[in-house]
Amino acid sequence: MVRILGISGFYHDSAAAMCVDGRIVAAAQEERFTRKKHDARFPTEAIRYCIEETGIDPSEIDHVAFYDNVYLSFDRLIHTFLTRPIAGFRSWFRDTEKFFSQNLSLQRRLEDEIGWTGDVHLTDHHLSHAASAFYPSPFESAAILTVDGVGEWATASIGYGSGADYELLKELHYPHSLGLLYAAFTYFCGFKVNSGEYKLMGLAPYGEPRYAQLIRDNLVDIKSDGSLRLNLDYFDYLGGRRMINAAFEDLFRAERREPETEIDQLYLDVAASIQQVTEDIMLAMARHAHEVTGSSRLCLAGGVALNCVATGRILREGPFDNIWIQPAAGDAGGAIGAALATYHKHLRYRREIPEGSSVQGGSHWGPGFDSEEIRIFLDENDYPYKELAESARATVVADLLAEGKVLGHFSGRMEFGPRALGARSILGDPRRDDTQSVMNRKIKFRESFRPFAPAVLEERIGDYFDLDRPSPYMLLVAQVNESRQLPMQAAPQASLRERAHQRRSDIPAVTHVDYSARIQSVSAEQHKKFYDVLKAFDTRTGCGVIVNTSFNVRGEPIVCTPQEAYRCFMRTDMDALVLEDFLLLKGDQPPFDEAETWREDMPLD
Amino acid sequence: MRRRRGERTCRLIERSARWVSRRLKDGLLFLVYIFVVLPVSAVYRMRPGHALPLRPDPSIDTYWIERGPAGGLSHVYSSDKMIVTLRRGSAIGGYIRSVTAARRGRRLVPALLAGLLAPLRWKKISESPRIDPDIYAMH
Repeated sequence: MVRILGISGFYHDSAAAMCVDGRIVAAAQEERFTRKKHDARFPTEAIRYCIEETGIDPSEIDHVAFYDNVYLSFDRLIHTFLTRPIAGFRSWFRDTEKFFSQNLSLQRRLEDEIGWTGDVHLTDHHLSHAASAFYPSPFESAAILTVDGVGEWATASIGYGSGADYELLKELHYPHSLGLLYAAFTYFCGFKVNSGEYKLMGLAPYGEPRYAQLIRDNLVDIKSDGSLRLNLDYFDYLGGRRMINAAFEDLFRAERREPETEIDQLYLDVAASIQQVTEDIMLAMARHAHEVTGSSRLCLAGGVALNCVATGRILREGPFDNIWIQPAAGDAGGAIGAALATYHKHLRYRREIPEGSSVQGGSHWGPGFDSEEIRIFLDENDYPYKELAESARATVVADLLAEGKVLGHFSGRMEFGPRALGARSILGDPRRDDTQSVMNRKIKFRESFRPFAPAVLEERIGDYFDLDRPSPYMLLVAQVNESRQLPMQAAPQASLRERAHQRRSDIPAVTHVDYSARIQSVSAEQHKKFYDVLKAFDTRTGCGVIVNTSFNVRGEPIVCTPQEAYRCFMRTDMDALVLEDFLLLKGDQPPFDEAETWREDMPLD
Repeated sequence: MRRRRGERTCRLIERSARWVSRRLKDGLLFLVYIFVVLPVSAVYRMRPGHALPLRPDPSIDTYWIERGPAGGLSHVYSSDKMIVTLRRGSAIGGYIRSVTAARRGRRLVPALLAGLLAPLRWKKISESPRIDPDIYAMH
């Protein structure tokens, strides 16, 4: 038996994963335990979880793998400093101090935290991403495309995997990065870098890509093979503390939007423009990967692979028959990648692909709590609940949803990756006009323009969406079927709020302003209880879709434990909470004794 | 009373010594970085054609860079040299840690032996910094 602990961290989204004989048996992001979103610190709690979950003593771990070559990253730090020594002195000093105290003391931390004293394997950052994309995929061989901000020197790579081996063939190098280009626009539009990118993507359909050519002419040179080079005269991330500089703002004749202020049309158009440019680059990169490898299948990872509008275009317009995207495509997934790369590539163990599925399964590798643990928690705190019989559970939950109730669904082991896939989800009825605004304003406390994703019965995808294959990880975007679309009532020049709230289809809560939806298909194999809820809702209402959003409020990581689920339930306007087989109704609960200022304490994402 | 105060003082001195020795190790690494790695890199960076490109180049057909057999950076510079340099810094830190451990009276013999054998590690590392074409080992 070979036990490998994979670790990622120090940049954003630290995580740990335990791999036993090539199978991931436990994995979790550090943020879920520390309750600090995108926590980048050494993943002590996630490692402890992996050890406890698997019962593997630290002395029994055969290898520890880290997802980044700290020495090469350190080298980039030096070169960056030498490029902008004066302007970049402060950020260089800060980064260097951090590097010495964290990255280069990785072994000391492992010894201090879990008593591990062996060697640590360092896999290159993009090798980790590539491994996380290829090994868990259902493909025997495939082209690999990884795109992110930066890892060591690489910002994107093309590779090829076959059987148990894979290699990277080509790279783009820092400071020329599609991820950093997108991050610069995220910053310009008033959102947080490394966190608000998906908001920018959600904002894009409200605008017109009128600045796309301006971006191509001035900011980025794109070759026909998708390779790119940025014009650093407009960016400040090499030396300064901002992503962009005054020249960038002059180019768009606007200053960076202040966070939490009204979003003007200019920023909507800028969002649409950079989204279009990003999609075009991704598509060109994918086509080039096909030319280089000759493969008809593609695996994707890296933070930019979470741009599901771009990957949706690769699927529709690209040369590949099939694509597979690592659900934890960001740095957290690097923990899986490092462990699997060590197992297959370094130790040379053969790879087995499970019949009809992938190693990733439902991506439920986090902590789970059985009914007895939850009963004890509820009894100890005197929280009123009803225990649901297994046969009645799905029907009761579906009935509540059909009545327009919004409920928290806590069932099974927590998901690994940024998406809630039914285990830690907030659910709602997609047919109602007010579901989107109620869930955005009163439950998630987030911007009203942001769309929600549909969870749909796998066998009924084609009834609702223009998609011919499963999308189990909520990573593919497709149009709502034309027969379900409704004509837009609001004029194109209407305010963002008006356009966000108009009815666009017969499932308005999950139909974005451009009639697109980020789809999660649900099968009984991946999450039986969640599937049963969907099935019961379909039986009751004839609608095989429900709204599925992550179980958290804005700025908070997804809940992990029953305690956190209950706290989130009581803090928000959720009507009910389902903790495994226990139903809690808001009206039955005692007053929640908590300071009113909790939202002020929650950092904005 | 006086004895308890003495014990507290001793503990305080011990903690301070431990803190200083750790900082000393980090400090030494930092000095290696400032006076060895940084100047070497600066000289290297001043060589023609080795500066970071900061603007598009219309004369180039593609910006993709072939990944060499020794890893992604083989065409840019020899990363192995960097690793050896850092390993040496780390080994010096290892000496200090050994001495600190010895002073604390814990694992005295293994600590001293590790310290004495540290130079051998440099050689081993400089000869074979990679254990795999793509995966490094942090010893």
